[in-house]
Amino acid sequence: MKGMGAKMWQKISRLYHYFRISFIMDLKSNIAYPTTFLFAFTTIPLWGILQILLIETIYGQTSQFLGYTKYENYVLFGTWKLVQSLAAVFFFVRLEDLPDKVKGTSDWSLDMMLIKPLDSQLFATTGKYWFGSLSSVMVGIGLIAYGLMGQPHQIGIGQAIGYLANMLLGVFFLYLVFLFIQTWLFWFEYLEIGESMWFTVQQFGEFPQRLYSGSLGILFNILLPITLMASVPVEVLFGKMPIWMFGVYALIVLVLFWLTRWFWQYSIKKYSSFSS
Amino acid sequence: MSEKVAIEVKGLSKHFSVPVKAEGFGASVKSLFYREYKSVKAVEKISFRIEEGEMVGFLGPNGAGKTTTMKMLSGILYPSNGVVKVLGYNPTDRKPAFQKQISMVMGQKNQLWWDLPATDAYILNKEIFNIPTHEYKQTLDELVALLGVEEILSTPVRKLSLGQRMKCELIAALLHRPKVLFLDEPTIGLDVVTQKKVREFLKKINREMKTTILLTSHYMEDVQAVCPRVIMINRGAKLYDGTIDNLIKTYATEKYLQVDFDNEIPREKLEAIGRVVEYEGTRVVIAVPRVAHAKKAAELLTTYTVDNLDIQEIKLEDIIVKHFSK
Amino acid sequence: MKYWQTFLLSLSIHFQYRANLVLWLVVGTIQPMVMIIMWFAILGDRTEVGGYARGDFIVYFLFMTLGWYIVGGSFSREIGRAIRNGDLNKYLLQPYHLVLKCFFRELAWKAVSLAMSLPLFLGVLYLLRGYLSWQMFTGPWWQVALSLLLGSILFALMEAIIGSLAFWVTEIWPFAEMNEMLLNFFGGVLAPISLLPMVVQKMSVYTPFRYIFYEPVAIALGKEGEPVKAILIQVLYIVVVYVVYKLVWKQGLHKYEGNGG
Repeated sequence: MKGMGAKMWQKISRLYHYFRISFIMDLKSNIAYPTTFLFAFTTIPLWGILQILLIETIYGQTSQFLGYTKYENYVLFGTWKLVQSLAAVFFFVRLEDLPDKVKGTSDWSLDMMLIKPLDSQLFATTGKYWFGSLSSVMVGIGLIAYGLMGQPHQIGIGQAIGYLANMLLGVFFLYLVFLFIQTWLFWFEYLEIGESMWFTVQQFGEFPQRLYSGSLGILFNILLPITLMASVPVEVLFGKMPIWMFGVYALIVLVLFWLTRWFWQYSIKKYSSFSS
Repeated sequence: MSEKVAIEVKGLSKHFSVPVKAEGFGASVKSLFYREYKSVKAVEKISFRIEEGEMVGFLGPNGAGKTTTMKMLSGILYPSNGVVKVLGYNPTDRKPAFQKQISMVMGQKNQLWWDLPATDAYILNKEIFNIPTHEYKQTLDELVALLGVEEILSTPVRKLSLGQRMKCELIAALLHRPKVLFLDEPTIGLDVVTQKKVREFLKKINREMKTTILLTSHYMEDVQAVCPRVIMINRGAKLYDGTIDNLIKTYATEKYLQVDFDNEIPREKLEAIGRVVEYEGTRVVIAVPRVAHAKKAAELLTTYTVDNLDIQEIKLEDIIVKHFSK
Repeated sequence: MKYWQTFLLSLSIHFQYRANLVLWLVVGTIQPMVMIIMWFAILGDRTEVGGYARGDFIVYFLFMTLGWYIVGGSFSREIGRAIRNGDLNKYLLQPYHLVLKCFFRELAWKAVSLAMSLPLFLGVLYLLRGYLSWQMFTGPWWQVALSLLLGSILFALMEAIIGSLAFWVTEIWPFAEMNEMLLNFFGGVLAPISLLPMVVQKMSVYTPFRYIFYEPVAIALGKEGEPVKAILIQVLYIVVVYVVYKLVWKQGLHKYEGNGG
């Protein structure tokens, strides 16, 4: 029993060291290209303006949209932006690079990653960060603050924690979505569309759960809970959804994680490296 | 050399399913709805054994199946058929215990980070392979001294020359003191001096670290300088397995003389000296028996006015064509 | 002739990568569907908003998406890449212009996507026919066609300018993204311009973006009160943007040749 605990601790400690070194290296790598970072940092938040325009347009035509007032919608959208940006910061770089790794046009090839004693999914899909999206994170936080200040709500500690927990679940869910999309390229020779698909799918997460009814509702609210990005956390925050629902969503995401991981490992097995 | 078997391969095969490319516009439209596939036999029933501490060269023309075989030995590719055992493990299981004992260098982009100095990649490898610090330092110092790269370790990799990069890659590959090292075309694109250095280095680490080394190349000189044993592969099949001396003695019985004459010499006259392989006006390539090549060269030089004479090794493809084609 | 060859070759390449094609189709239809669903929710119990009823929204967004395949097709990235990695050199030696080549490559892609998506669009229109009526399509077809053509020229010229920025900057994607955003903003991609906040509507008149997608669609749906004026403005913008493009390209080439690429 004690042996198992020690082994677990050793594994975690090793992972921590790996991620620490990997992060430092990635940071150093990025510092070598300040203009890229600057460009990304300044242009990415501009997309936020578009969504603000959308909200203003919607509320120019109606005073309440699916049970949300304008300021509540700002919180909704700010949360969406925050979740999207966090997912981009932590998971965008390696997953976006995966097709190039497979084709051998990136700096490491997937082949080399496979023979290292590190879990292939961990190695190939995490470890590099998209610092440019940090400004987007700030925009998201700003919008949430704007919305909350415009229309203050009574928020208890439990709701706040539930809000944060669901958001993090949403970030992880986005990772699984991107992973699933990119894993398909092991089966199709030519799939450049992964990134666009990922961002497109996220669009469904901008709206309250109520928008989707019937089978669409089951799809987006339960099976593939894209509404975890915004609607679920915000409704927990405003007390419109019970806090224990987090457990349900955590379970769903766990199942999805298990499925995507199986798909990844199965695809790697069938992998025929193109760099031959 | 110990008696322990490092690599054992029996009846190894790898088939790829490749879509048939459509020719012409009409066929392209058809391919939208229906795709034909054909089976490509990259590796077909190869068997061999390699013992610990051996240095073996895989020789063969491009596309022969050498890289594919190596990828199956390292666990990157899944064999279609046959048995592979490396250090007692099944490579495709990719057990960490197995992965910690092997290493691979394939082409140029392997484990270094483009924008950072090589030392950063080494530290990362240290973490990945869980190398204890004192052992890491010792091995690193040893390898750096052997290759003489102290000064370039803190330069970003993208600023290094190809030769320097290759040396840094080799160090990265050996930090965890693997028992087996796979090298795919390690000297391709390198200048002559670096090629020599790399070959010397490989021989040294084989001697001192007892590393089993497998290297593929389509240059015979590569293998000749480094490996006592060579396995020749063509079109996925094993054609020869033995010492390189024997290979040369048995099959490379000729050498090529590439001559640039001052004026055109009639072909029949040259046929008296040797077998004319190429004839293009003033440039001629003549094949002469290996043992007599110096004499034949001298004969050419004294009989005719020669602008330039090059003595070349018979090409590998020619050995294959001459002795192994069906 | 050579550009036609490029077109044919690109078509054939696209047929090879059918999975990619299908997926782009799927991705392309999601945005308009999401927008339609959203506006339906905004309408709620009302039948129309700002002159747009449910059917109008369906037609508007579907046409905007269709419009992308006719008018749009971003190729600035290809231009930028060719400039950055020196491929431009081979074009300078031949009477084969890089920009035109990229344009025709993209044209092939659009043609294939259009062909594949047309049945889908017709299918969707059929399914939602309860919301539609023939009166929606009131614009005279020659005006619509002309406007579409002008819109696509304007779009292509702007793509060419963005691509040419690669002469000066290593990464043009920020500019391409900004362009896309402005198109969404002022170009009617997000919502019919007449439904946007007043201040945005007023600003949009002074930008070329509404004259790329929005005007052709508005003319087709009879939502443009002065179609002839709109077409003339399109021509005006094309002239201006063309001059800018020529200047930018010339300057860029000058710099490129000075540095040897």
